[in-house]
Order: sequence, then C-alpha cells, then structure tokens
Amino acid sequence: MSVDLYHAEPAANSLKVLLAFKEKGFEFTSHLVRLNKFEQHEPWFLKINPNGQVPALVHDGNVITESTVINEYVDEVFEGPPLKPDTALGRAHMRIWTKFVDEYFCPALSFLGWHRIIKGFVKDLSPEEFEAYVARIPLKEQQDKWRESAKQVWPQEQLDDWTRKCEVSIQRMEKQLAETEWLAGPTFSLADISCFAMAFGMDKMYPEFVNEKACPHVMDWHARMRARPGTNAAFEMPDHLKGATTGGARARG
Amino acid sequence: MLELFHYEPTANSAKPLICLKEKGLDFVSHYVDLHNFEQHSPEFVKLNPNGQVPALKHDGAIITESTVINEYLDEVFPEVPLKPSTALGRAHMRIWTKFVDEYFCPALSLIGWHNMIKDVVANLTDEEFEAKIARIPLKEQQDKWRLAARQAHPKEQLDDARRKCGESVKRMENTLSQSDWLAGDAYSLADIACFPMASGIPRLMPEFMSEKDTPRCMDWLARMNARPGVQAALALSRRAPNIRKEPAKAASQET
Repeated sequence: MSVDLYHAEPAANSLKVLLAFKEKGFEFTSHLVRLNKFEQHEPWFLKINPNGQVPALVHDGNVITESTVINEYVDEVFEGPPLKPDTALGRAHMRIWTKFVDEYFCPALSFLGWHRIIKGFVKDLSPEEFEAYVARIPLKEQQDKWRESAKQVWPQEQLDDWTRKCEVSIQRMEKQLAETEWLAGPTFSLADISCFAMAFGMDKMYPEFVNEKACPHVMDWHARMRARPGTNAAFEMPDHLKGATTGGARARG
Repeated sequence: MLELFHYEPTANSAKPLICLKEKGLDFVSHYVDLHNFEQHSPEFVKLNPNGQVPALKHDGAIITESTVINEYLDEVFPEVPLKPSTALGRAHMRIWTKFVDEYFCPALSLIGWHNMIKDVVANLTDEEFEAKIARIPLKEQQDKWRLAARQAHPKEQLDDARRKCGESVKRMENTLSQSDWLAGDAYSLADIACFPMASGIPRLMPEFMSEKDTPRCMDWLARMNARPGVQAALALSRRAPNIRKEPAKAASQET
C-alpha cells in the first residue's frame, strides 16, 4: 500500500488534509511542493493534478484532489479515529460547514492572503520571467489570481469585502460554538478541521474581530484545537515560508 | 416524515427532487414561489435563516444545501444507492458535486438571474422592490438581486460566466468520453448535480453543447431524460412551458 501526499506548508488547504492525516495517525509519504518556487505548475506535478493545485493524494496509484474530498476519502478508507459524526444529521451539519469553508470563508481569506504574500514571491522576477511562470498555470482563474495579486490591482473596496466575509465566517462559527462544543455538534469532526485550517492564527492577523470579547467561544475552540496532538503533529511538518506570514490566510496553489 | 421545500424542478431545487424520485420516496412537497419572493418570507426564513430553497425537513430536523441534502438522503435511505460502491468512486462523485457548486452553477446562475430577474421585478415600484430586498438575509443575495434587477452586471462578467459554462461542458464531455456516467460506471449524485445545470445548455448555448461538438454529453442528456426518476421530478413543474424555457429561473436558487 502506498500513500503519497503532495502538499505545501501547514496552512490553509494543505493544513486541512495534514490535520486529518495526523488525527487518523496513519503512515504516509510527504512530498512538499514549494509554492514560492511555482513547483505546483511544473510538468511533473501537472501529471499528478492537471489543475496544478495542492494538496493531492496518491493512494495505490489513484489520484484524489480537492482537500475536502480527500478528507472524506481518508475518513472512509483509513484506520484511526472517525472524523465524521455518527449520525446522518450530524454528517449533514458537518458538510454544511466544509462547504461553507470552500465556497465562502476560504476564498475570502485566500484572496487576502495572496494580496499580502504573492508580491514577495515574485519581487525578484522580471516581467518576462513572471509571465513565463503564469503561462504554465492550467486554470484561467488561477492565472488571473496570480497576475492580479502580483500587480496589487484589487481595489480597497474589494479587500474590505473579503475582510467582511472573514468576519461573517468567524461570527457564524461563534454562533455555533455558543451552542455546541464542536462545529458539527458534540464531537470533533472534519468541520472543525476545515475551519481551523482557515481560522488558526486569525487572532494575530485580524485581532479587531478575532478576540476574547468579539468571539469568546471561537477563542476557546481555537485553544482546544491548538492543544490537540494531531494539530501539533501537522504543524511540525516542514514550513519553509515561516516568517512570510503570521498564520491564517496563506496561499494555495 | 419527509418534507421538501422547493421551487421548480430546475437548478438546485431539481437536485433533491430527482434524488427523492430516483429513490421512490414519499414526501410532502411545499412549493416556494420565487416569483413571489416566498423564500424571504418570515415563515420560510424560520425554516432556513438563509432564505434559500431547497430545504428538507425530516422528522423535525432541517437540512439545507442541495448537495448536502442529497448526501443525507442517500445515507438515510440507502435502498436505491446513488453513490458509487467504492471510496475512490465516491471521491470522483464529490469532485463533481463540488465543481457544480463552486463553478458551473454560479456561472449559470449569474446568466440566469441577468435574464430573468428583470421580469420578476417588472411590476414593482422602486419602493416595493427595496422592501422585498430588505427581507433577504444574505448580503451576497441582496447584491445579486439589485445588480440583476438593474441589469448592472458588467458585460465582461457575463461573458466570463458564459465561458465558464463552456468550460464545464468540456469537462463533462471529457469525462463522459471515458465512462458512461460522470463518476464512473454507475449513475450517481454527480449526474444528478450536473443534469439540472446542463439540461438547458443545448438550447440556450448551442455553441457549447451539440450533437456535433459534444456527442457524449448529448447521449448522456438523452439517457438522463429517459430515466423515470428524472421524468417524475420534471413533471412536478407548475409553471407554463414557455416560462420554463427561460434560462434564468433555473438559477434563482441557492447561489
């Protein structure tokens, strides 16, 4: 049996799968894909994921992409503690959260992260070199996102709206965590993993709306998440971008 | 008891309707008329605070989001399975349902709203319209209503949405060239998620889907339309066929 995970630093969608893998506790081979070296767009990686995005799982020769799908797969296939609630209703609540992260929370946070980080990735490239890298990106949406973040073209109004969405996301979590210990109910699940992959460190990055007063239940949950052995094991994975960001909101390929 | 709050058997309302009919489940149908803004009424917002259809009520519990509803229905009523039998197949299925939710449906929905909402609001004064908008719980939905009503979506954005519809069809054609159904050998929730989005494309955007350019998609559509479950869901339509031909209405749901 071979389990190969292609991932970036333990942040955002790569962190999401690393958390699930470490919570389950099975053995896997880690392949770090360096986003700041544009490795996710290199021909060898495009053979694995034609979309040129991490994370990607290769299990016994089969490729599975999309962090949320990978986590559902991993929970179905591998030994270890279950990461889904034990009722169908609980699983529905979990999936509403994982979907919300994918469609709302993560995109908003991701655009803000790119706006902050990509300029550092590309600062030593000539315009020709940069365009050569962008030309290799398979998805038009990703090409646009690289160009726009490199050129810092997003208007303040747009950045403010993404920040608003992050605050809405945190408040939605706060409301839920005031009622239940974990996001999908009484048990820890992939919903917590999805949200934590986005929300970790946001108390430092966005202290104006992530603090003890604005969201005490989120802060408590964040501390409980941070104390989990699985979380700590995930954060022990290589982080070559340390210092480039202070938690939360990092880029994905 | 199963109750489904839904609109026409199009877009996101069609997804659980087809699922229920494929499984042959009895359910109470509650038609929520989007043309009368019923999804934003206080009674409905009590059920789904987001003010969106579809919503499922099962033995008192509310489940929202069409994709989540379908996974739930398949878990609770597994007799007619609508997920592939392997974990890998289920992963392929979920990549499709996610792609529909994040890419295909939003693109189609934008075009649909642009085409349809102007008629929905044609007889309202500005004050009446704003009163309707004020009841919408989600800011994103308020913005979408206002932009669509004022026909204010930039052409560039509409063109890009159209391009995404074309990309979605290409992706379907590519997969259907390799397998009978979108998630592999077996019919699944992936096909149910794509069908309501794709079914109108040959008529509305023939440049993207036709016998000549996408024969596998056309064959798949014919096989979908021939399924008794799909036919039973489509038969629940209450609006006149000429209105059902509008692209748009499809899209006035969920996203």
